[in-house]
Order: sequence, then C-alpha cells, then structure tokens
Amino acid sequence: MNLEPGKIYGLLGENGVGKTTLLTLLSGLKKTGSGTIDIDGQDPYKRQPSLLEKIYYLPDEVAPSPERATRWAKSKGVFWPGFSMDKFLEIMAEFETDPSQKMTTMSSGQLKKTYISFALACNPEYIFMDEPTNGLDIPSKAQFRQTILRHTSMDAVLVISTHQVRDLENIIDPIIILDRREVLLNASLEEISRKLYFDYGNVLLPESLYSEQLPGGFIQVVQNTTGQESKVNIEALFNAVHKNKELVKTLFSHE
Amino acid sequence: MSNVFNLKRFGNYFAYDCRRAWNLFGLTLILAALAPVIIFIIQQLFSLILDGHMSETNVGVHLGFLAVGAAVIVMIAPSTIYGSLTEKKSGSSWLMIPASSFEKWLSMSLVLTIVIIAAFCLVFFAGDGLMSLLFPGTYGSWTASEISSIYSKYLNALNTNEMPITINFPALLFTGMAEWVLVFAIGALYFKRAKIAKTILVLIGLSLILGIIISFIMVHGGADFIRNLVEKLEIELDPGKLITSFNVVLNIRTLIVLGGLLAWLFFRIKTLKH
Repeated sequence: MNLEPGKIYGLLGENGVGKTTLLTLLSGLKKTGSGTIDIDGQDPYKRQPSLLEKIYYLPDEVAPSPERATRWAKSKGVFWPGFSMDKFLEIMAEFETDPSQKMTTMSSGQLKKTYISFALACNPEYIFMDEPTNGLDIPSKAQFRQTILRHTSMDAVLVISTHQVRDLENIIDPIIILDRREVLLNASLEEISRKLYFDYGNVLLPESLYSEQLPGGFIQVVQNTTGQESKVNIEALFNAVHKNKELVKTLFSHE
Repeated sequence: MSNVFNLKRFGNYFAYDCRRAWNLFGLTLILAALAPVIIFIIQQLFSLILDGHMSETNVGVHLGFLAVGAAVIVMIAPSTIYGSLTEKKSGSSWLMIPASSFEKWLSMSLVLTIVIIAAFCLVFFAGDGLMSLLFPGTYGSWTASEISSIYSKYLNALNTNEMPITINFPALLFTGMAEWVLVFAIGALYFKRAKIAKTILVLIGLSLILGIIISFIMVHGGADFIRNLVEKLEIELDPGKLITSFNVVLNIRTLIVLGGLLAWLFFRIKTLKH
C-alpha cells in the first residue's frame, strides 16, 4: 500500500480489523510483526526526531495536560519546525474553543478540538487521525471538515480512520477499506465511481451488489458497465465491499 | 541535525520535561519538603490555643520528616511524573514528541535523580533554616547543622583507633536516593496499575530470593571463605588500605547499580509501544 502526498485518505473497516494498529504502525508506536513500513526512507519504529517532526498522530482518546491550552501548545509546539501559534489560535477560534482555558476543565469534545488544532498548526507532512470526530458535536463536525480542507498543507498526507463515514463523506479521497490482515480496497472516488454505480432510484435491481431501503427509494451499488457517473455513498460502498470481497478485490486490482 | 543528540533540541525537551514535572509534581514536592514547617505551625497553633504557650520540637522530629519526605519523593515522583506514559492516551503523545529516545532518557534521568532530589533538599533545608532563624527556641537548630554535628560525632567515634575514615554523606544520600528513584521509575514504566505497590512487592520478592541464595552459599562454604579472606586481608593489608579497598568496592558497586538501572530505563523507553 502506498500513500501519496496531497491526499486525505479515509481508513475504513469493521471493529477490530486493525485500523488503529495500522495508524500506530505508521506512527512508529508499534513494531511490525512482518513486512516493512517506509516513510521518506526511514523506519518509523526507530522514532528518529527527523521523522517524528514530520508526523503528527492523533489518537482516538487524548489526555488533558494540567495547564492552559495556549501554554501547552507553546511549550510543545517548539518540537515541530512548522508549528505556528497564530494558526493554532486561528483554528481554536474557528472551533469556538477558548485557548486560555485549562485543559483539565475542558470537555472531551473541547479537548479533541484543541488537539486537532494543534495537529494542524504543527504543519506536519503526515497526519494520522484515529476517529477524530468522536466526541465532537454536530456543528463541530461540520467545522472539522472545513478546517481540514482549509488548513491541511497541499502536499501533506492525511490518513483518517473512522466509523462515522458520514462525518467525513465530502473530504476523504481516496478510500481504504481494511479487512483482517488485508486491504480490500484502496481507490480514489473517481476510480470507484468509474467501476461502481450508485443507484438512488426506487426500482430494486437484481444485479445489485448491495441494496438498502431509504425513505422514498433505495441506495444500490452495482458494477458500472455503462460508464455513467454517480455520487459515491461511502456507507453503501463499505457494505458492498464487505458483501463482495473477492469481486471487489478483482475489480480494483491494479496489476 | 543529529538524530541521537542535539543540544538545542535537548534544551527544549529538558525545559518541557521540567515544566511538566512541575505541573504534575510541584505541589506534592513542596508539601513534602515543607512538612516539618507546616506541622510545626499547626502544632504551635494548637499549643497556643490549648496551653497558652508555644511547644518545642526536637531535631529527631525534623530528621524523621527528612527521611519520610525523601522516601515519599523517591517512591511517588516517578509514577506521578512519568506513570502515565504506559497509558495509550498520554504515552503515545509523549513518544511522538520529536526528540530522540536518548534525549528523553537523559532528561528523565536528570529530572528524577538531580532536579527532584535537589529541589526537595533545597526547599526542605530552606524552610527548615528559616524556621530555625525565626523560632530558635521552639523549632530548634537547623537540621543541616544537626546532621553535620551528628556526622562529626560518629566520625570521631570511628576514628579513635587511628584509622583515617571519611564518609561523603551528601554523596551517599544522593546516590542512595538516585538508586531508589530509578528503581521506582522502572516500576512506573513497566506496571500499568498500582505501580508503587507492585514495585515494592517485586523488591520484597527479589530480597527473599536473594536472601535464600546468600544463605545457601553461606551454609555451603561461603562463610568460611569470607572468614579466611578477611583474616588474609587483615594480615596483608594495613587498616588504612583495607578501608580504601572497601571504599573502592562500594564505589564500584554504586556505579554498577546506577549504570545498570539507567541502562534498563533507557531500554524501557526505547522499546515502549502503544
């Protein structure tokens, strides 16, 4: 699996397939049992500062530091050469979170927003986020999408693992779907819509790979044999891939 | 820029680590170091209310506070400052800080074995000195000068048979505290819960095993070997040389123990996973 710069990867998979493990392996927090991970020619598990300053890993749960967010960001930001305090404060303002508040008095959502602001303010080349929208309220989820699009560098690699596909529907591209010990799908939205057709009509198609009843019709996934364009529904895609693993692997194989 | 050690990066990290230590442990350290002062004030308040006059404390109480305070600091500082590194939330964030494992290890070692111990001694003796200046009659003399006089008394007693004995008390205190703080630091980085209790249990277990092994060796010829060795040394060496040899052995033992503990701590930091 190759990750290319300038893309926001959506990492999807059922519980326990190893999404978090993959992110921690990429961040060097775990050692690979087999195979290798290479980031800019370095093994992340060696945790060399020259690579660490290019990476920011945001775990699904974050710990509060017993100090104000501004002081925390200022003291920690010195380790990332691209860190900008102005950017941190700007994103905190966009999230409507008070940076002068003590982190220990923040709610889990505010704490998450503080960490997201810090991650983006560090301007790293690689950002790995594990369930970043967990704990965020509805307006914050929309704000998160806007913030990601506005503040991520053009050449950064962003990998977001999530169960909440609807929270990230319009920002993730390509999409990676993991199964146990294998990658079922790693494709851009353009490739997906070229190979699969998402039908939102009200007639049930017998050849559908996946179908689900919606109010006023169906969402169905079929193989795109006519070259028609359609809007990718990530939740339907995920279910279609899981119901037709071998077919999808063949369909999206790049050999 | 070196991936192992860079002075500017280490300076930043050490400053960050000290600030973190202060945020997490500063208040506890001050309370432990100022315990004799706080207790003295409370005691005097009660004395004045109940008896109408101030009561006296003695040097034994102050020495007791110093010993208990030092023990408390040595046991709880590592788990309070670095214990959360075994948790995924804090530990992953700490591991991802762009500083080398060597720099993180060096900073942790300096904070635990020098900064914390020096800060505790400084606050303890400063508070104690201030109280002895303000209330010489009731608080008593400065604990540092009392330690010094007790120490001279023991040395004079030991030196009666004309053997030149010198004991570097500050070095003994420092290396003793450093050894124990490192032991508890290793416990804090291995155990996920009940870090202090589990470390103490492991130490008790190790002492038992070591005790059994030593007893076995002593019963099976070890005692005779040592007796013969001492007799031989007493014949061949003059008492001065014997004491010098003893000091050398003691220093080598301290270096090996400290070096081993520091190496173990480095290995643990290097292999910490989340």
